[in-house]
Amino acid sequence: MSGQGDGTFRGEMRAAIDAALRDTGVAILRSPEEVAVYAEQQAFFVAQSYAANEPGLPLVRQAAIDAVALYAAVSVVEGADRFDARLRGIADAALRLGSLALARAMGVPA
Amino acid sequence: MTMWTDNQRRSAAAVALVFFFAACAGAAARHEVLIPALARAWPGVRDDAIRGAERVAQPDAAREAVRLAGDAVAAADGARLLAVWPTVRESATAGIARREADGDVGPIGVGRLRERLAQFGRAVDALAAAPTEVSR
Repeated sequence: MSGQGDGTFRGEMRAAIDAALRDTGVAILRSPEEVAVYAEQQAFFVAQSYAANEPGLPLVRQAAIDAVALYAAVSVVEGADRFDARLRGIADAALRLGSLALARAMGVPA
Repeated sequence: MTMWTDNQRRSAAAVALVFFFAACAGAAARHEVLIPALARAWPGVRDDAIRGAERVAQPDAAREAVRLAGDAVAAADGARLLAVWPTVRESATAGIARREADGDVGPIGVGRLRERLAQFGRAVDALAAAPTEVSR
């Protein structure tokens, strides 16, 4: 996602989406590829609505920006949860090893 | 009482530290990223739901659910939001259909309103879920 306003409608959409991601804090983790693809799809649909001269463009544009921010935020949360789960796995393994070592040191069966 | 060596004490402290941090990333992401995204999208979803309230079976209940959902978003309370979400979603779905029927948005654009509603629901689920329930 370039996020630069290049004078085209889609360029402006991408810039607005990038601004929304920064505002919501998603930019602290750079957008993974799937988020960029999703944002591009949303910008494309809004551009189609614009090209077809449909009514309610500001409403549609805002909805698309919100959708991208929500999609990206959920992606960040899921990534963070996977990170937590990995840490928990490491901690569990360390605890098991620690209890084994302790039992051995105390001369009791683990 | 068992006497621990310095190494054992250090190892136990390290394990305790790992446990302390183990649940932090998901909780921080919910607070720092998910809640701002929900708060940002809420006005649009709320407007759709209010617009659709009179088209659902129980309009007063729908309006009350929207009010409670607004409070829950402001309080970042995922459980409260999840409790009223089905009613809000039904009302917002009706509101989006009404916007299209009234000609406020076109057939291409209306899909973006539906998409925002779908992503909002996904975010509500993620906020309400315990961190381990989301990760797969």
